[in-house]
Amino acid sequence: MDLSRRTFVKATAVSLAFGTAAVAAGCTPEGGGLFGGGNGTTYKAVCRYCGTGCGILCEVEDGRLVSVTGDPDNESSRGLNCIKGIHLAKLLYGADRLTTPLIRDNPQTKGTNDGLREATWEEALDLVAGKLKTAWKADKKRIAFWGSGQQPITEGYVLSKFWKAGLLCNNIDPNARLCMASAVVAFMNVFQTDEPPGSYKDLDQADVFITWGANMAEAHPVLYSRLSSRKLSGADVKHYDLTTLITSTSKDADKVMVFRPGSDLAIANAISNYLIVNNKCDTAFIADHIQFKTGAENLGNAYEDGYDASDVGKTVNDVAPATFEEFAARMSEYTLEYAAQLSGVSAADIQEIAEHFANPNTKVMSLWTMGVNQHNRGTWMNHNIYNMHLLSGKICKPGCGPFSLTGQPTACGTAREVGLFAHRLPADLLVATPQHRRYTEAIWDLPGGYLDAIEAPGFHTIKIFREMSKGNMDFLWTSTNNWAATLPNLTRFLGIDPKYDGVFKTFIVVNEVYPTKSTQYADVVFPVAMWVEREGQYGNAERRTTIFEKAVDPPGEAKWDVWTYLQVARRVLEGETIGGADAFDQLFGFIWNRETDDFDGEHREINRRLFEEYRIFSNPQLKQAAQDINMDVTGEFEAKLKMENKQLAPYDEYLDKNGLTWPVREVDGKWLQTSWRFANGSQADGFDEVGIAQYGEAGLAGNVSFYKSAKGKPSAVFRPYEPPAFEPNEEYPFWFCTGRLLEHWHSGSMTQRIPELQRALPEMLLDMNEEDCKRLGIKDGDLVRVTSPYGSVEIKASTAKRTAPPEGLCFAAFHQESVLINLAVQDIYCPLSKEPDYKKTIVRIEKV
Amino acid sequence: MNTGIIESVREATTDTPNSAGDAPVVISSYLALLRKGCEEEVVASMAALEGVEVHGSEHGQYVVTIEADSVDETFERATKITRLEGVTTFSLVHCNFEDEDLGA
Repeated sequence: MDLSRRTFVKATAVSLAFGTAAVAAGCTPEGGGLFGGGNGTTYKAVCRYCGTGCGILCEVEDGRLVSVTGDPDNESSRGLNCIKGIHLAKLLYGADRLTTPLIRDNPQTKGTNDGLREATWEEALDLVAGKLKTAWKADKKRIAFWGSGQQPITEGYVLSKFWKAGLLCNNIDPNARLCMASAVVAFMNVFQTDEPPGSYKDLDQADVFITWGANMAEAHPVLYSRLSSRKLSGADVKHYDLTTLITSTSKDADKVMVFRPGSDLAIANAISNYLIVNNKCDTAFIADHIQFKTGAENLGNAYEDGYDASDVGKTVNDVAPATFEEFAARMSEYTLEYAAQLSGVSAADIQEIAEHFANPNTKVMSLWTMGVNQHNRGTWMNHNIYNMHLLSGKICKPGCGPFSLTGQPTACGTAREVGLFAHRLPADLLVATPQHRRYTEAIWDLPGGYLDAIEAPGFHTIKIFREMSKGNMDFLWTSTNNWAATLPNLTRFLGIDPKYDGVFKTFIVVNEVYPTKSTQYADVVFPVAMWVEREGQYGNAERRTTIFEKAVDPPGEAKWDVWTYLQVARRVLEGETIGGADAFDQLFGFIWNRETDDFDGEHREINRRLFEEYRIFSNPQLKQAAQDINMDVTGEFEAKLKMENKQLAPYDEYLDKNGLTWPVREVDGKWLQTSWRFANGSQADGFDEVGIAQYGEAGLAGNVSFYKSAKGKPSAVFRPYEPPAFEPNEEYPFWFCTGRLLEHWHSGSMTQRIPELQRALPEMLLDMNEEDCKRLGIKDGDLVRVTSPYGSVEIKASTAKRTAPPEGLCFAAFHQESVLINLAVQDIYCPLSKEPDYKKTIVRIEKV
Repeated sequence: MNTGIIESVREATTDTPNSAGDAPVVISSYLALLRKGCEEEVVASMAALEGVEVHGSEHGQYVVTIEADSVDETFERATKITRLEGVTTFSLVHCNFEDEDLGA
């Protein structure tokens, strides 16, 4: 780069940063638009890492990316990106990108880097379709698809339609089961809608932040930056970090409270109880809005494969109505002292937080993610957080509310909103509910009753892999995940335990961009496009749907995932009919050209058609048959579906704008987003005016109307403290907690494919307490063996305090394939959400 | 724009880029939030890193640039900054890597 160009580029970079500082502060920078000065073409995109959903502007010259810039017009990130954005573009260009289909002829080579040979698409597609068709015809319970919270919306939608309507099979689940399922189940239990009531805008207005087991500074850095900006704004803003170990998020917190693993349940209950016994609840809010319940207790744990079908396993979702007094009576056990005794946090500290909830003028925001969700009582802990906010009325108000942070870029948009779960249909609909099946049939033009074949939910993630490990699965297809690295209990699932060799017997197809641990177990690998090599849509944690445009071509013969689904669907559904019509044409004829055996249109147009069909789910007025079921015009169902609850705008609105938070309402010809759900106020200001006018009630306490909840009232369900699945003992004296670090995302399946990048990325280490190390004779950098009842892994010990665990607890991140920590992690899961508890495996540590 | 701290740091450090002439260069810019009370010290620590320059602050955020020979080196330097005591957050705004052959 010559000096004048260099000067210009640097001046542009500086100017963009100053302008972004103004945008982040809520000001309009002088001179209007920020981006400009480049010679290339700019495409709008969204970062493909975490669930924050940061907007990115990609500049392309001569078919290659030459710069990335935080998108100042994206309201989720307001021009910021974390440092992982530096290598976003480089991820596309790793030397070992997969560019041709691969076939494994000898299953005995599974688990190694050998055994895959190049093949043509025709050969690979025919092989996969043949295997799937044979397995499907023989027994639908022995096939499964494991999807992802990273699959864009239209990709997930096609997949769901193929698997649920085409194959009439519910064995489809996403990797979001491993990160967000507890949040999902609690959302549905409490609100009967899967969504956060607030938005990121709350971060700019809260008085008190409480992070619950969440290392936001590393896992959601841009949102943590927003929190920090609020704290540094001069207002008297507090941040309490409740955690089981000291992290980067603890560094600048006003108070850090280290609690014993699992005892967060008791701390939250003690805060709720404090509000009750001190008459500090918002009684008007409770009277208008809350129904109380108790639920099944003494759930035990899913130690055995048969837990879900056991006597206790079948009762886990049971709840019963309760009066406020009954609820309060159950809560009364949770005194500050009792919670202090269970947690190790002082009663005074717990009271300090409780008093913030008790103050009607204080805006409190609770933030959580994997620490709460990956918990043997993950769903319960989500409940207990909502209980505090519901009792105090601190919800659905700007700056105030419980906010579930999400893990993956479109865990909300695809896994949850599209419904890639084994029990779901699109838009929160459930396979088990007749009205939901009728509604879906109406949109997909299926004969009435067609989907009754899938009324029973399929296998959840752990069930899929437990069955596979026992040899009970014939066909598994996975995409946009790296199951062989991220699943817990890999000692079992990878067949290292010889009792479980099913992975070697199952025909496994993996859609991938790089060789990974999972491709080592694949019988066929489909090379696919990644990130901006195709157009897609992400839905982030604050309900924002954003399109990322195709900016460059995929390498070699790599294809869009949707193309692979449809090529296989076309082959498998050959000769099948739906209502007398060709099954494939019935489902996908609107995007596929039989003559060319390819998409019937350009990339953008295919996405638009798919999104417009998907959009009917939240816009029933677009199809009369769907609207009739939505409004229950025949009276055959119990109630209206209120599908407009999650209304999406036309596809082109998202192209024009840089993301919109649903529900998006058409007011005077303009599509307006919603920032605060169920809160009455002007739609133009981000309140839920249109929704409340349609289905809610004005004039209720707090100017709130929970119109999607049963009887208009969310549920405060009493959930007690029940201990972790295992407690440290003489043989396994440590807790082993796993998590993430700033520099990496996912399983390293992308960041670890770039050899030069390795220098800058931290090695995965076992963070230990110095006293524990002294006692065991372990020095910083020593190789140690971590052994649990499930398996063992060797890793270097560290006392450098990247995280600083208390005595008796150790921590490691899961990003490095060569240090496969999940070999030792338990596959115990929350009985309600079936999400594994990655945070509390018991282990022993020995110097190697 | 607050440039007082920056000027004092500039006097004590050199902001000469690490590469000269037509050598490949990756230029990136950031916003840093610093812990209150230790801004001067942290700005100095950042500016002491090779290829790193602090340009001032706006709305409480410090504008920082990194010039490096490659994306990987850029990432390495940015990572160092995130780990400096007193750096609360360090966010990327823009990264130009037009010089670098990413392998396309």
